[in-house]
Amino acid sequence: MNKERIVKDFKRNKWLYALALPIVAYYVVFQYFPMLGAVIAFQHYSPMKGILGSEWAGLSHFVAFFDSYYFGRLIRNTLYLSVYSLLFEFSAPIVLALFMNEIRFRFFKSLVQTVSFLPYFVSLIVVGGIIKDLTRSGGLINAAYTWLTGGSGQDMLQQPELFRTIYVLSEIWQRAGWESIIYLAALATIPIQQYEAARIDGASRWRQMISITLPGLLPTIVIMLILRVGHMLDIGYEKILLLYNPVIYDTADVISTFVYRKGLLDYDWSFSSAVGLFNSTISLLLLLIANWVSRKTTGNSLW
Amino acid sequence: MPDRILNIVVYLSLIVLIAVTCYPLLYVLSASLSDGDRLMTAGGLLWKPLGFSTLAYERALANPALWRGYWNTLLLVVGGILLNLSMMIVGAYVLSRRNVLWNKVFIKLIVVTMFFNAGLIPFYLVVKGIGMMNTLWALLIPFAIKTFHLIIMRTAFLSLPPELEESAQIDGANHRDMLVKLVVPLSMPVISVIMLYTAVDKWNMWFIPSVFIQDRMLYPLQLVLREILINNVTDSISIGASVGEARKIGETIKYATIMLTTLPVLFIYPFLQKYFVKGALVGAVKG
Amino acid sequence: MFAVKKYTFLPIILIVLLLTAACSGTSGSTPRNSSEQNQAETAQPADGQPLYPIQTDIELSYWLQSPTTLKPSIHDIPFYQEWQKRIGVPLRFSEVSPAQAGEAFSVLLSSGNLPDIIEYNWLSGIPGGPEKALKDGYIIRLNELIDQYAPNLKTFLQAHPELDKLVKTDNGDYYAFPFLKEGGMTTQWAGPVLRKDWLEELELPVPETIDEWHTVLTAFKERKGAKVPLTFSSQTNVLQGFLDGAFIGAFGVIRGFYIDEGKVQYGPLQPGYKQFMATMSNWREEGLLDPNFSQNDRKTQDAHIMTGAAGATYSSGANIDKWEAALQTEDKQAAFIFAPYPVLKHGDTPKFGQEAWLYGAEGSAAVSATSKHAKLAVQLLDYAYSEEGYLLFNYGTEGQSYTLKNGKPELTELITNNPDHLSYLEALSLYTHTVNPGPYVGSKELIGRLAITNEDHNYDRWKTDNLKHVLPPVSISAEESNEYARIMTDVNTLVDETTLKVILGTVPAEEAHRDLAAKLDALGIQRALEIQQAAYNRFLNR
Repeated sequence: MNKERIVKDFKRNKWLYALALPIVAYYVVFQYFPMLGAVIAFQHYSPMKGILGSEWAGLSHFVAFFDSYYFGRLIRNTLYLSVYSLLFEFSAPIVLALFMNEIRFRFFKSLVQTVSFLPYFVSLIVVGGIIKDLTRSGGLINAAYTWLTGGSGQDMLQQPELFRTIYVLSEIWQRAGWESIIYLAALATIPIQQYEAARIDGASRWRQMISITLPGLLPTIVIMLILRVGHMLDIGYEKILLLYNPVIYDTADVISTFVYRKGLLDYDWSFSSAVGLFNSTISLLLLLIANWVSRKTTGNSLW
Repeated sequence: MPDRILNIVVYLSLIVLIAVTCYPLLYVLSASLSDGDRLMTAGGLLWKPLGFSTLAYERALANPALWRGYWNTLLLVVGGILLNLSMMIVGAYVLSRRNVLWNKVFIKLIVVTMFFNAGLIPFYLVVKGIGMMNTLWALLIPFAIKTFHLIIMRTAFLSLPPELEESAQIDGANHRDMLVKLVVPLSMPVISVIMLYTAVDKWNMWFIPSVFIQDRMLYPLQLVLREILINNVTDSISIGASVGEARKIGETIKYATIMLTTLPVLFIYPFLQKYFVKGALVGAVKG
Repeated sequence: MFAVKKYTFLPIILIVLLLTAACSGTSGSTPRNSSEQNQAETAQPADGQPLYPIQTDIELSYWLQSPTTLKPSIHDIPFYQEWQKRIGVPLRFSEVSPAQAGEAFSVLLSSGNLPDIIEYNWLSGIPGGPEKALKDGYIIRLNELIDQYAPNLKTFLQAHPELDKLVKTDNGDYYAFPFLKEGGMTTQWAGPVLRKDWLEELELPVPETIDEWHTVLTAFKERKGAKVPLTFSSQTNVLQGFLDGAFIGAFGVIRGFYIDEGKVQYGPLQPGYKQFMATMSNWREEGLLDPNFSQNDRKTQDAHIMTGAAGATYSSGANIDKWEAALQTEDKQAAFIFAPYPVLKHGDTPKFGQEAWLYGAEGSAAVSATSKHAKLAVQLLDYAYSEEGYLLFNYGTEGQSYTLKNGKPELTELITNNPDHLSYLEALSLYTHTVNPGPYVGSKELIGRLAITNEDHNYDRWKTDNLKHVLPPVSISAEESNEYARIMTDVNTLVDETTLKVILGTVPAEEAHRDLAAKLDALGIQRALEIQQAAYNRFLNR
């Protein structure tokens, strides 16, 4: 990239660059500038001394985190929740889209669509409130669960072994319909001739679904999957914060909730930032790996 | 698998889905109209209100915090739509121009922020440093761009046929004309989807406001709701109610508040649905 | 099209806005403040004796927890209007919801940009306590300022040396305008309580030992059909029902640090803690203890009591009065009786129970180190410790919420029989400061007169040896505070978790306790004990 080219490009596109100023400003101020602030992860940050005046701590916060009694549990919980979400919550909208594709009655189809989107528009606070209510002892879901398993009827959010199920199911409930939009749109792009040809060959609808529809969705699925993998570690802590309590920390406490507690409840800002930084770094690595694997195997890639 | 079995599986599971989705909403509706005492002692399924009482609604509607919350959230939604869309349309326009040397670098730097961020405390320090703390601006400006949306929009702009733009340029159109007369009208479906996403985001915000907003007068609706649903602060609502009465509406008031804050969205949404579904994926599926 | 055109200019407007916001945030207020500071200083008489109302235009910022949710904003609360009028200093309040106070306070501190006055628990609400807060430069040492500008507080502390000892750090630094109590019901207000009518019907005496409690609760369950005979509220802490020492105290321990013969001990390490967990686990298993005790908010507790699902709980006297009044509208016989804190053997004196020190540190107002008006802040805060201030904070405004009869304040009907159907506690929270902690002296007489006291509601029944055993307001040294804070945050999570798991029956007490002790050692509990012991020794030498 030589100087001449840069000057020429600038002359030609000067108005475009001017238009770009707001978003450049936004990214500098609100995305990159805070990254400088992340140096507090390597400090004993003291607000009154500011970032420039605080003492350096080196990597001690990171070491403390790796040595921490809770390190293993946090990683385990985070991975479990994200893997379960990946297995079930990620595939739910795909299955839903495939099923909707099989419906022949238009009225029923639009009914399913309308209804399945609805929960997405119910706010997290309300969803959290409803979940708490329905799973407490005597609550509807709890009653059903007790009836099915003969359990004790104890508040379900106090039983560590149930938390992951509750979390994943509620995520599916809230998001599957909405996320299926993407796949429905992708379905529309599959050429109709392929189905006609298959029908002439006498393939059943199940066969068509497996060998035409699913492959047609594959590029979309892969892209969604890569994006998803990049966010493996940031599972929806906002929801967990609303639902968890010390009794179920064993399964419910994840890295991001820990970051929140350390930073906002225990006043350990530097330590919290160190854990957050660790989380971000792993996320970025996961994304790069997923993207690389995908490019090698399926040819799909984010960039 | 024969077609008939497939049909049974498909229809059955979708009917179950509809039931599972609708029931909680029906439950909340019934509970909100129930008699508080009977609701407290009863458990399990609820198909219709136990008794009938609109007391909870009267109390919930008389709660000034609810209305203030609505107003603040309305400001956020409208402000957020105006701000985010203007930022992102202009941004996506620039980023979608071919022959711009720095665009490749920009895009990379932008995508990185989706997966790597500094964390809450450093972010907070910046927002605080700018002096926006405890104002609604703190919920708007630092969130003026959502990178994911920006990328979707850029992809949509990129997928417009280049010939159109070339001919417009030959006709002497400047960037403003291109944007206003060509790109935006042709990308309305995507833009409206992003608009919906933004509105939903703003409507749902609660964690960030709980950190950035300390003044209760500025609480958006969700924080008001959290006080009522999660922290169970219902004192202000049962003002003027004697202890016994306060207890009677204690639980139902929660459900009434849920209804009052959820219904408007649920009512608006079906009207928009068709439009949005159509546009939803123009951008997201890489064309 | 018109709308679209407008969009293109928005970013520019935005940037301008951004810049103005940025500038005003950092520098906008400084010049105004300093010029007005002089004005304030000259407004005072030379001898440093402030005359209320102080005439000043300087507005001080004041951070506190919302005293009540009855009004949308603190500025609408009559007490706060009257207070500002009396002191003559306009205050700009930032109020945070008490449920979010910890988070909000952390967020506030982390910014380094503090309001002039901050009302908070500077002793135990912040890791490291007051010495660290002073050392880190959040708040200032008030000794000289109190000496010069707070004659009322100074006189009060001189007259009460036992209080003076409590409100200082080991170095003798004053760090806040304290919330002080006069004893009586201002320090001792809560304890175990049972349904008196049920006991009479079942012909059972008021239980005193853990075994008798077991008998009573079993009878409540089997013969009165109570679903959860013993329930608790856990609005602020999962173990709230036990935190003050009810039930757990019978086993000679509490959930935190305490003193045994001059030595600081940590409850969960002791064998008594295992017994406590095992007993509660049995009670839960037998259906005597509410299995949701760690999740109940106040409303749930109310509901359990009012519907007869529970016959016993732990509560404040004020709450009990409220329940009794409400229950009696439907059932004339319904009544409550206070029970002594349970012990193991008849005749033992309960070791722990709810009884606060005369200074508990909550709601105490410190002056931030960034304040440019420290002197003014001290002057206005001192008002509360004057005679007039005492009346205002406890009784409100004369003619409105109280009248003087024979020189003694009497509450008016506005409080005792509120026309808007507010309970007296709610009414007090609007017209006075009494119900909430804050920088003033809480009146023993007022609270004592408001509570219903009779044979059954006998606050003396809740007497314990608590103050001999719980830690006084000691201060951790600034050097040790970081280490201590980090140990204790992990320890606290672990203890809460283990305790709940045992009581809820996930793990057996024996095994869990052995495991807990080992893990606590690994987390450094011995070091924390050393630090506490040193702090306690320093306290004794004050």
